[in-house]
Amino acid sequence: MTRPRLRMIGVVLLAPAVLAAGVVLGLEGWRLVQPRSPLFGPPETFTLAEAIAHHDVARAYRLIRAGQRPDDVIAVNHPTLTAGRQRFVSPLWWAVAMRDEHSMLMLLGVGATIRHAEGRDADCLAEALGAAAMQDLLRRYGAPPDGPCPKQAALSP
Amino acid sequence: MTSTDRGAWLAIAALVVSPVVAAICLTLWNTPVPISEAVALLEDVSRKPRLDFLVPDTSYYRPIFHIVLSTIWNADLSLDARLAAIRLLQIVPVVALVGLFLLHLRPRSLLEAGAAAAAMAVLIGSPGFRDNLEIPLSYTIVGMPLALAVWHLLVAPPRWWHTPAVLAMLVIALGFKEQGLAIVALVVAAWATRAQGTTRAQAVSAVLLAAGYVAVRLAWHSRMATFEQAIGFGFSELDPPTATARFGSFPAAIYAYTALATVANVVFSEPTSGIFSIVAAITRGTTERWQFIQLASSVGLTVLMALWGVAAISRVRHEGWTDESRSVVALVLTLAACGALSFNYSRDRLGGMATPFYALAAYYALRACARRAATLQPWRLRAAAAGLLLLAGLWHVRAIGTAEAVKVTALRNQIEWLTGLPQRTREFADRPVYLSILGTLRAQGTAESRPRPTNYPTALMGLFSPANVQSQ
Repeated sequence: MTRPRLRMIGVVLLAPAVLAAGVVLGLEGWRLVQPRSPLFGPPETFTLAEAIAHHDVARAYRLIRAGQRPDDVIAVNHPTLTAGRQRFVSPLWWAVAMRDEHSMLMLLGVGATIRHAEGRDADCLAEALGAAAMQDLLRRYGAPPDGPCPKQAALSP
Repeated sequence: MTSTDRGAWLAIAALVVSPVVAAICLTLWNTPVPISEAVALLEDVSRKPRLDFLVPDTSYYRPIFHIVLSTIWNADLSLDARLAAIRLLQIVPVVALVGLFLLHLRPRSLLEAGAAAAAMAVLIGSPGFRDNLEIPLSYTIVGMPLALAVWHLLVAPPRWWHTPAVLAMLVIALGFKEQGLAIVALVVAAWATRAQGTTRAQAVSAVLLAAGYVAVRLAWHSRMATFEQAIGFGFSELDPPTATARFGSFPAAIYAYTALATVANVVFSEPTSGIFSIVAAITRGTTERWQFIQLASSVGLTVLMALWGVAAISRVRHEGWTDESRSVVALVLTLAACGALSFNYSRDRLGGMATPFYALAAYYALRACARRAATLQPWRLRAAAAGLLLLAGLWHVRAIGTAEAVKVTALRNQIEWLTGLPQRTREFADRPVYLSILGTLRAQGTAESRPRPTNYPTALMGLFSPANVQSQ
C-alpha cells in the first residue's frame, strides 16, 4: 500500500531536480553553441559609439585595445542630445550623454581627456545634464581644464 | 536492498545536481581574480615572509590561508598557473562539499534520492554557501567540507586515526578563519549524543584547542574594536563610528542582535547583514520574485524542520540517539557557534559553517515528512505531495540563482578591472607592490569571454536574483 505511495513522493521530490538540471544543461549548452545570443550578453556592436550606447563597457574596451584611440571623435546620433542629427563628439562626451558611468571610467583609465571645446567637454555636459556623480568623477580623474564651459550646442534644438 | 541499488540511487542524486554544480565551478574557473581584496591580499603575501602570518596581531587572523596563498603566489610558476591554483582553492572545496554531502547521505531508494537532491538544492541555494564563492576569499568554503568530514567521522564506527584526523581538520579550518571553531561545536554535539566515533578525550582535546586559540587571540589582540565593520540594524546600515556612538563601547544587546541576525539568515534568509531588506521591500511594495522565493522557501522548510526536530528529539528517550536526532543537535550547536562568532558584524557568509548542517537536517526532515505523507488519506497525500513539490521546486530555483549569482560576480569583477584603474592608481600611488600586481593582473581582468549572467526573458526576470543585477 505505502510502497507505491513512497515511490510517488520520491518522484515528486526528484522532479524539480531533474527539471532544474535540464534547464541548466539546456541553457549552458545553448551558451556554448550560441555565445553571442541575446540571452547571454548585450547585442553585438561594431563601433565605439554603439558599444557605449548599449552600455557594453567590455566591448568598448576591446575596440580601444584593437586600435581605436580614446580621444578620436566618433559619429553619434541621438533624438534629443544631437537633435536627431549626426555629430562628431569625443567617446567620453558620448559616455556622459548615455549616462554610462562604466564606459566613462574605462575611457579615463585608458587616457581619454577633456577639452573645453564643442563635443569634447564631457564635464560641462555632465553639469548640463545634472549628472552630479559623473561630474564629480570627471573632475577627480579626468583633470578637466580650467575656464568656463562652452555653450552646449549639442543640447540646443 | 542490494549494494548495487544503493550505488544507483546515489549516482542518480549526483547526476541531477551535477549540472548546477558544474555550472558554478566552470564559472568560478573563468572568473577574473578581482581588484577588491585580491590585489591587497597578494600585496600582503608578496611583502611579508610566510611565517609572519602565524603571529596573531590582526583582527583578521587567517594564517593557513595566507601561507597557502603566499605559497601559490610566490611559486616559480607562470601567472596562469598561479591564478589557476587560486581558483582551484575555491573550486575544490565546493566539489568536496557536494561529494561529501551525498556520500554522507547515501540515498538508498527513489524517495531518499529525491530528498537528497532537494537537500543539495538547500545547500547550494543557501546564502551561507552563495556568499562564500568569492575568489580568492576561500576562508569559509574550505572549512565547510572539513566540518562535514569531521561530522562524518564522528558518527562513523571508530578507527584509531579518527581523532588525529578530526583535530587536524579543526586546526586547518581554524587556520583559514575563526569560524572553524564551529567544528568544536560538532565534536561536542557528537559527544553529547554518544556518537560511536567520539570519545570524552576527543571532546576535551577539541575544547582545549579552542580555548587555547581564543586565549592566544585575546592575549595578542586584547583591544578589539567595538565594531570591526559596518553593522546592519533594523532597516539600515551603520558605519563603525556611528554604531559605536549609538550603542557604546560594550553593546551587549546589539551584539546579541547581530549574532541572532546571522542565525536567522541561515534559517529564514532574512535579515541580510543584519538588515531586514525583504521585509522593507514588502512594506514599500517593491518586492521582487526572488525575495518571495527566498523567504517562502526558507520559512516553509524551517517550520517543517522544527516540527521534525521536536519529534526526532522526543523519540530519543525511547529509541536512543540516531543520525537523525544527532543532526538536530549538530544544527543547533553550529548555528549557535556561527551566531556567537559573528557578534561583531553579521554577513551571509558567516553562517557558512552551519549551512551544511541546515541542509543535512533538511534531508532528514523532508524524508520524514515524505514517509509520513505516504500513510495519509488520498486527498491529504495529494496536498502533502503538492507542498513538497512546491518546496523542493523553490529551493531548486534558488540553486539556479546561486549559479547566476556567481556569473554576476564574474561580470562585476571584470567591470571593476575595466573601470577601477584610475581610482586605484591614484589611491595606491605610494604602494609600488600593489601597483605592480595591479599591472600584472590587468590582462586577466579585462580578457574577453568572461562569464556573463543570463539575460532571461522579462517574464523570468527577477526570479533568480535581483532584476537590475540580471540586466546589467
